[in-house]
Amino acid sequence: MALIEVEKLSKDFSILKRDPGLKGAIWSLVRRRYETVHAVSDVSFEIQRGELVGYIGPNGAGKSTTIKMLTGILIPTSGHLRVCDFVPYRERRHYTRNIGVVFGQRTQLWWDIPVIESFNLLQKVYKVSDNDYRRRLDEFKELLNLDEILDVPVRKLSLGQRMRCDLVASMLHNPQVLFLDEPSIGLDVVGKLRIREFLQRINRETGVTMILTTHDLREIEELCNRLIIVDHGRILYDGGIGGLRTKYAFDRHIIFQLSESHPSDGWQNDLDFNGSVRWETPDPLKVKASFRKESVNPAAVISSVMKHLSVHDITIEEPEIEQIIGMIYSQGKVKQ
Amino acid sequence: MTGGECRAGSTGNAVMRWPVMATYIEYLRISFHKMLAYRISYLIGVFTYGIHVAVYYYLYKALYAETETINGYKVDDMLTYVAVGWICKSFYLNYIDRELTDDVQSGQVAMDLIKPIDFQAMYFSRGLGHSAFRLVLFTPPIVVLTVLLFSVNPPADAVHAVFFIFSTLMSVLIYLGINYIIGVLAIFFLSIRGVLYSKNLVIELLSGLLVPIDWFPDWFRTMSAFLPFQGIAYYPLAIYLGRIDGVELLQAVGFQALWVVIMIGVGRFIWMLCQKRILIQGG
Amino acid sequence: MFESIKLHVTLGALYLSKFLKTRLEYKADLMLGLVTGLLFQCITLVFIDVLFARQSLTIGGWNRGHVLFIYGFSIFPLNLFFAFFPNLYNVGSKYIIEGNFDRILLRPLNSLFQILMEEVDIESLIGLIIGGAIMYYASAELELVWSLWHMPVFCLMAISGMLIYGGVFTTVASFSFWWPDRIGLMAPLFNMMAFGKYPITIFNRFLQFILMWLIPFAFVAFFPATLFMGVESFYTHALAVPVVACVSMLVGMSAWTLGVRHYESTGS
Ligand SMILES: Nc1ncnc2c1ncn2[C@@H]1O[C@H](COP(=O)(O)OP(=O)(O)OP(=O)(O)O)[C@@H](O)[C@H]1O
Ligand SMILES: [Mg+2]
Repeated sequence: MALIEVEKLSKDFSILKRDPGLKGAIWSLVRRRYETVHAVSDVSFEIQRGELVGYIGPNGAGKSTTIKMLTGILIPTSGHLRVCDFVPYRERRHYTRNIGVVFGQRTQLWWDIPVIESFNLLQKVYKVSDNDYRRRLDEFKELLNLDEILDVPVRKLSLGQRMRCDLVASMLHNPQVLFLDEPSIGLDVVGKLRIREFLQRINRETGVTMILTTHDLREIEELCNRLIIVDHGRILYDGGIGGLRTKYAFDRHIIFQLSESHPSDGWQNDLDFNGSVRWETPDPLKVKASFRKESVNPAAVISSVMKHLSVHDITIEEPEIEQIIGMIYSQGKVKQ
Repeated sequence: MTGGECRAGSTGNAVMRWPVMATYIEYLRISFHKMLAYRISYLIGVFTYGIHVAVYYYLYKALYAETETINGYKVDDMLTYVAVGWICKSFYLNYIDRELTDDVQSGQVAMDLIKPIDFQAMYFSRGLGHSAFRLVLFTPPIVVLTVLLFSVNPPADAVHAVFFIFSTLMSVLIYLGINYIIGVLAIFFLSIRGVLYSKNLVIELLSGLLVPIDWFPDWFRTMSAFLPFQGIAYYPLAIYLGRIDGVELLQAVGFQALWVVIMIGVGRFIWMLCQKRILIQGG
Repeated sequence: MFESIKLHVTLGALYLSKFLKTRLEYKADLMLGLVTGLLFQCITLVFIDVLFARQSLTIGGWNRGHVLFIYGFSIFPLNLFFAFFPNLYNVGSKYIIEGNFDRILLRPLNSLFQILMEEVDIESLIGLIIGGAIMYYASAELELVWSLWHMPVFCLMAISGMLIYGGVFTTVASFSFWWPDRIGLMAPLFNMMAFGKYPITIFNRFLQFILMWLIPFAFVAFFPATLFMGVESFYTHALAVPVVACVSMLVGMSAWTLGVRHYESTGS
């Protein structure tokens, strides 16, 4: 049985609409108009133990709302939901012992007390034995380089420092699932890298299942073996990152820089690839060939072009994951 | 709006007044609208306020059960004093102290500090927004309830009525001034926050709302003469009842006006001292 | 069940110690809190003193001694409430509107308990000294005799009073889950707390009904005080105080549980 089961999950919010102007405002004392926002609609997926899943989508796609339902903060409008054999919102107090949560936007530590005190308190809250607690804390302290900031109240920490502490706080009780909502938001390159390494290592060593939302697709690429793309509350894609590339029609480009301009017309008719290569000529000194890497041999393309044109330089490109996903966002669907 | 603000800056003093005013009127308007958003609070507010008036009304009724006059106040006068006093309070009340501390706690204050506006004037505008809301929607139902349920005398005469209105407007400003100062102070002394809860009670007493100032012993009256509080409730009410007459009318209103100026000045001064610390704390 | 209560009690102590420590760091602040707190108590005393400037005056048959005694007693539940429930005032703003309630829901503890534990206001307890002094003075004036059995009853009544306030304010704080509001709901109720200390007999039926059964503040100070003053006609009411406290807390906690289901978090 899957560790996380989500079936036809939906969440609606009703938002108060107010007419502009004084009259509208006073009228709103008597009668109110509400508008429904379908933040999440009909989402279904399953996640197995140990998976590291990236959950991405444009702003307002419904990622955070989904995470909040998975963590028991919000109650779904409809649909089924089961994590670690719990219905999150119904058995909240038992359920939360099994999960760790990090929200990049907002700390979960106590604002006014030093970090280490927060950790000590959490140890008691989650009933972690002294031994386990000390062992984990030592390990995390080293991995995330926390030594200097443990005695500082949370409100005095920088964003990156706070983030590292929040990560530790979410892992102290050795949860089965870790939910991360934009954990790297606002961090610098080194900070992101450190967190990425930490997550990778934790996932490998403890086998904790992770769901991660982020707008940094490189992070997804390096961390996750599975990707769920959502927009307008619906799932657009669910599968591996490689699969996304193959689904995407032309996933390889070769750009030829010419030393003299190509003949104005008809030259590509001689290159026979049964129409599976798309030719473009952005300027007289440049030719671009796009094709799928399973159906065409790149070496063949290169050698035939070399025969016809005088080539001065060659670059081979695979589209960035960002381009593909940008495409998906803007089209609102995945190419079949 | 900020657009108006920029234009004003470049065209110089003569044109400056209006766009600047418009900014603050905008704040007033927004704060008015904010109050409207809370429909349930409004209904609960009117209900509990009605109870409030009733409690003090009956308290005095019971006190007068065995005698006709206490300290020169007849039963009728005193009951009118209480009822009108609470009606006025429903108008001059505002919560800008609380808003100010909230804004500082949530970091919102930083957003206000980077705008080219006067901090105090902004909060005053917001407070006036509260009062405007109350004048239009809160005070009328209270007036109707009070007049229907209790016996309330009309003002002493037309002159006193006019002075009463004027004096009540002043009390709005004094109350605003005090609340602003409390709000600014509460930013720095965490524990004053607890005091904010019971602050109302103190102002109710010192302002003469609970007991007319001339019921108090001499030492208290002397102290009051040097404090702004009796300008909030006692003066408007004494004017309403006609207990203040002739030149004293002008003196009373003058006293209030003086305190408005002082409160604004003190507020600015304390803010000046505190601003630095807000900037250091980083909100 | 028992396990859970034990966990909450030990954690409660731990929470308190942590947050007290940060509180004690601001010493000047604490002093200021104490001094203003004391000042405020004195001011109500002035009020009563002025009302009863003429010794012969009574309200509804209650003389100055009675009113002082009730007032002195009312300080106990009131300040206990201020000391241990101050965070209820922030529920609407800090927790619901600003979305900090998310954090509360992620911990394996009762959510109301967590909120109450996150802020305590111990300097309110200083008021109890004044309360004691006033009661001592009023007892002398009323020629009351205290005996040993009064003590446990007194504690029971004071704590019950605190719980009545706690229950009522929890109920109102829960309203913020449905109608989020920063202060509008709590402020008027805070002002009404004062009514617990007036003899309920002076009000008309309607007010009596409200102060007994809708917002049961009459059970906080007036009825318990009559017990110690030996006013036999209210003994049944006084004995009902702990029951009212339980009911009040029960209503508060039910409203809270219902409210939590309505929690919508925030958009960002
Ligand atoms: N508490 C709420 N009340 C009302 N509407 C909400 C609430 N939370 C989210 N929404 C709405 O639901 C939709 C999804 O929001 P959500 O926060 O889940 O998006 P997201 O995918 O996390 O976006 P982002 O990448 O910007 O964080 C948005 O349209 C948002 O306005
Ligand atoms: Mg989000």
